[in-house]
Amino acid sequence: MKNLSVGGLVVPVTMLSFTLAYWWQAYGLSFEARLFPLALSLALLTLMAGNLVQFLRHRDSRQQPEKTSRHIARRRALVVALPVLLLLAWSQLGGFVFVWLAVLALQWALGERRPISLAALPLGSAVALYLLFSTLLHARVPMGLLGVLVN
Amino acid sequence: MDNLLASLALGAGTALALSNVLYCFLGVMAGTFIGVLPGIGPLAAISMLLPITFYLEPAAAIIMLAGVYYGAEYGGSITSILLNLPGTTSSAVTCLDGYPLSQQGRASMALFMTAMASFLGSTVGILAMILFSPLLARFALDFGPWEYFSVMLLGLICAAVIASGSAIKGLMMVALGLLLGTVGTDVNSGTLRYTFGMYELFDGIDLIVLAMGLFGIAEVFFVLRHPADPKAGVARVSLREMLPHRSEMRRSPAPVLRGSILGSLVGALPGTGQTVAAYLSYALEKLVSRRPEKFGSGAIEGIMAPESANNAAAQTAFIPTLVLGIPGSATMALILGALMIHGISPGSALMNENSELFWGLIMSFWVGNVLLLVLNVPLIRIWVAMLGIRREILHVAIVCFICVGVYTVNHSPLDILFVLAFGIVGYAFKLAGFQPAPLLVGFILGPMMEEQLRRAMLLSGGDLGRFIERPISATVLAIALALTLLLMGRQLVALRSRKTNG
Repeated sequence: MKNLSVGGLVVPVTMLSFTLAYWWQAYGLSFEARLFPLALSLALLTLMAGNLVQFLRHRDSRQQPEKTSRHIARRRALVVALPVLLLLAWSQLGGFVFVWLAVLALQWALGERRPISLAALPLGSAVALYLLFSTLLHARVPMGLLGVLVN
Repeated sequence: MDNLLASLALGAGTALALSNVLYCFLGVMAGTFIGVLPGIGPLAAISMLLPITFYLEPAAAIIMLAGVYYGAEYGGSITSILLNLPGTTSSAVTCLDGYPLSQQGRASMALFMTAMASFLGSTVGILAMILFSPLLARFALDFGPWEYFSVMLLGLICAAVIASGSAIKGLMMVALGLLLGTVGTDVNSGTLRYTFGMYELFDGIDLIVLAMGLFGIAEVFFVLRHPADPKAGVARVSLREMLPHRSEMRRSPAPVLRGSILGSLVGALPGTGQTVAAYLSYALEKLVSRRPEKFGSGAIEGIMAPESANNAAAQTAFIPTLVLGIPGSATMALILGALMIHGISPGSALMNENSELFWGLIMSFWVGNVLLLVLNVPLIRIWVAMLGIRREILHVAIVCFICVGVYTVNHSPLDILFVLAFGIVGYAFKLAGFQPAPLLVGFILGPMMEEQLRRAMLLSGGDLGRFIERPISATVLAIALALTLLLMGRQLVALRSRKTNG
């Protein structure tokens, strides 16, 4: 087991916990409503077992995953974390201020330092999205801060 | 025959009227644009445009809405090829070979060939509509829940076939997609399933949220891990660059023909639609190909077949809607609604009582497809220029477009969180060698399959034997079984050869 790659097991283990959560939830359902999902989760468990056997049989020939540098890992984390943080204030900020701030923050996180790009792209994105979604497609996007400023 | 020619002449007169050409142009232009945008699909676009059509003549209104519908199919493949971001669900399969071609600096060729395949597929679909509308309508009427379930099962097996690498992984993704499709309110009993108390999940997981996360956001993560050369993938766009190599040219007609025929047939069945047509045709090409190992790394057949299939299906999907009055999808239901708003009853009488509208609409499909071809070929230069934008800027824009686009579907900020979460999951799948495309097929087909299965069991009093007693269902199940055996055989051969080679 010395070459066993833990990374290769992450997806099947996640799937297993997901399937188990399904089984747990299924207890409260009527027979009719749980039949199809239960049959599916059984099929998925069987396939997982097959995948595990395959994984263990070929563990020695498996390539070790390349190490991710701390710098790249931080960038990836920021791409998720920044929109999530700004999303908490979605209703207050409004869709377009959210886009303006998110683009600015993401650009900074991805290493962009040119002032012209940092100034133009966030504003350009917010204006383009406003014209596209609000003006042209009449989609409902909360105005938030922008609405307060305009009124 | 004379009757048919007279009907076509009548239809051409309607379709070529200046005002109808203009509305057709507006429709296909809006459709292309909507297909390119992540989040807003033809369904949302047609619902937004519906009030405008109240003020138009019935023919102009339906021609414009139909233009949005099939124009979105053209547009959907553009971002699939350039950014691995499917604009529509049926174009997700185009990512598999279109995006690798783009990474090889051949985006302009892929876009040009996609436009050609779409046009040819649509043409075959329109011809099928003209020649076989009554026949296809009768064929579709022979389909009961047993047949639908069998066709969908075949679709799922095909989804596992399209996954390169391990067949078990492909099947696992299909099963996971089916499971995710069961989240939400059970249509038959009204029971809430797997919502974990979150009211945002009562209507199930949104398809757009899932697709954007698994494909779009996951791709952004992947590019952050493997930063590419900023100039890589950008090709000069001259007519020469758009043309495929001679060997690729030779390999293109057969997939287009097979895809178009398959797409025309599948599209005419209510409830199956373009997505199933695209996946089935991809799987068929991979099966009949002499070099299946090339699929997934930029094989021309991998874009020609699904694109011709989904465009052919987009045309023949009008057959059950117009001839039988059965909308095959939510988008078709809206078009049906638009017809009814104008006081036109769909059904077999439509061909006789409103022949000007019926044949005018069919002929407008041709006008629309010519317009799409004329529009899209010059636009390739602009689309490819998108690849010249610095990766950081492009990805920031993608993340923001996805966030706002996804929000506009259900007006729920939680959807944005879901899309990011699915992005992380999709990235993990990619690293572990699991392909997201089969999951998407399972997710789309799952609820429909369950409904058909329950209906079949109810009608037959729980007798499973009906599936093999009915000839169409039995034939489709036999094909599905043969495919499964082939899949397992291939897996065994691959395992043995791996063992022999040490």
